Amino acid sequence: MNKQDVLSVLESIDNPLMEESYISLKAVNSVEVDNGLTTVGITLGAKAISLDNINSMALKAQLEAAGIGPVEVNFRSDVLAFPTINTQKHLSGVKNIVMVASGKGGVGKSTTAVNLSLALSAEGAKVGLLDADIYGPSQCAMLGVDENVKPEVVDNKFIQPIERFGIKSMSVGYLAKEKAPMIWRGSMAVRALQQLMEQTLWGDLDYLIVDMPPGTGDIQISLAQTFHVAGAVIVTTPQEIALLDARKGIEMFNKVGIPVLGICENMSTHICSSCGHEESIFGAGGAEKLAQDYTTPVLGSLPLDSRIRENVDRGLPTVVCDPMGALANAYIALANQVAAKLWKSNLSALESPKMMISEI
Amino acid sequence: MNNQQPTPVEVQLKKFTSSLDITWADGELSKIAGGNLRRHCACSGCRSRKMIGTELITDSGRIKKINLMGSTGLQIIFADGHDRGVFPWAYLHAIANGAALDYLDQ
Ligand SMILES: Nc1ncnc2c1ncn2[C@@H]1O[C@H](COP(=O)(O)OP(=O)(O)O)[C@@H](O)[C@H]1O
Ligand SMILES: [Mg+2]
Ligand SMILES: [Zn+2]
Ligand SMILES: [Zn+2]
Repeated sequence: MNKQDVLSVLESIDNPLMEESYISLKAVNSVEVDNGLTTVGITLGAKAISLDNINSMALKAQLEAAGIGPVEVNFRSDVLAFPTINTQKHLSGVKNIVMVASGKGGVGKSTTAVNLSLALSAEGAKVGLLDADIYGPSQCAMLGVDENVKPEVVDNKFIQPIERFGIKSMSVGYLAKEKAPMIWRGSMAVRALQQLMEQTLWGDLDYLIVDMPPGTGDIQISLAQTFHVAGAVIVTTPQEIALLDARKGIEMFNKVGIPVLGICENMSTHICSSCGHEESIFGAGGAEKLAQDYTTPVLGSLPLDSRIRENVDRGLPTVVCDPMGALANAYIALANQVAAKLWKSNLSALESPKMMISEI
Repeated sequence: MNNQQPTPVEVQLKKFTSSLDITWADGELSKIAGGNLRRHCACSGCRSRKMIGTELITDSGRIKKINLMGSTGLQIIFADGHDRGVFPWAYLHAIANGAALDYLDQ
């Protein structure tokens, strides 16, 4: 067995999360054959460390089954950054900006954004969370940040994000004097949010999750155009109106050229608290239909469960409140899918056109 | 809703004639004049200017620089310094085919 043999076997082995071969993922980092022992180094472009052990075991088993002989597999991950040419000032350490959006409010966008952020962090990623919902900032409360805690101002022009449960967060809610919803005028709001994003000392982040204001109007479009956004996650409930609004959201992101990573269906089923029986409330399959129409996947599905609400209400989101529970698992599964789709999207973005500039 | 984004394989900026030539995956060649791009800039500033009905002061469509924005499209920096516009590939394709307004209204 030589290196070439090993590479050709790797050609036909898929990474289970990505459903694509390690070779076409460009994830094979090194292959060494030494004294009959083959060592394969894999670098994944997504953080999903709860899967690393089992997937590396499976890869080892499949290589050995293909007759490669004794194999050692080493997995590591280095999140693939969204390939933009110009670095965005103080955001240059941020690899991916991901917008969590919905056509309308109240569908659970903020709840999903905070649990997704924590789940990504639990999976080994460096995560920031920007609460851009100027109409109703809620991340301060959901993260249980005390009202008196204010972000530290550095050199009169930068602000230190607030760290909580291992993630960095920034919110208009931290800055406003009164916590009541503010009414901002369109262009002013965009400029304020742009400043908030750029003046926060995010440092190095794999994923910066943006909890967007609800809707698909001018503020949302401008925000989406202001930053080099790697992808968007659309949160929707299965009701018809919410689905209609989600449609508008997808179309808006398509229009400004931001990849829609997929849909997260929230409050899709109800789990009876006494017997555990699960049933769909508004009729099943709405998000799936939506996903089919737009050839975009359903990334996750969260049931309507009062614990999800109670947890964020007391400032201890489900992922950190009950990390081993089924609900936390559903958020971890969502985080794995988001990370995977982002890696895939960034890989295809790297296959960019040839650029030529001539003076004539 | 057409989710099939046109895929560019080659982008050429001709600075002197101020023209952007894009070759698409299906072989189609689009030649877009800089002035045409400047008029169709859809950044928030230009869109609100159009809404109010203010005329563009400069008629210069000279392009200083183009930046690739991943799979998104191109950021076009005009010689007059205007750099807010990001042009998704599908929008560039629409501009080249005289369908820019349809694209924005769609
Ligand atoms: N899966 C869920 N199960 C139960 N309650 C939920 C769920 N998701 C969100 N909620 C609750 O629904 C309300 C709206 O959620 P929120 O995240 O604030 O929505 P949005 O940010 O879209 O306006 C909150 O009270 C939240 O606790
Ligand atoms: Mg919210
Ligand atoms: Zn029951
Ligand atoms: Zn413009």
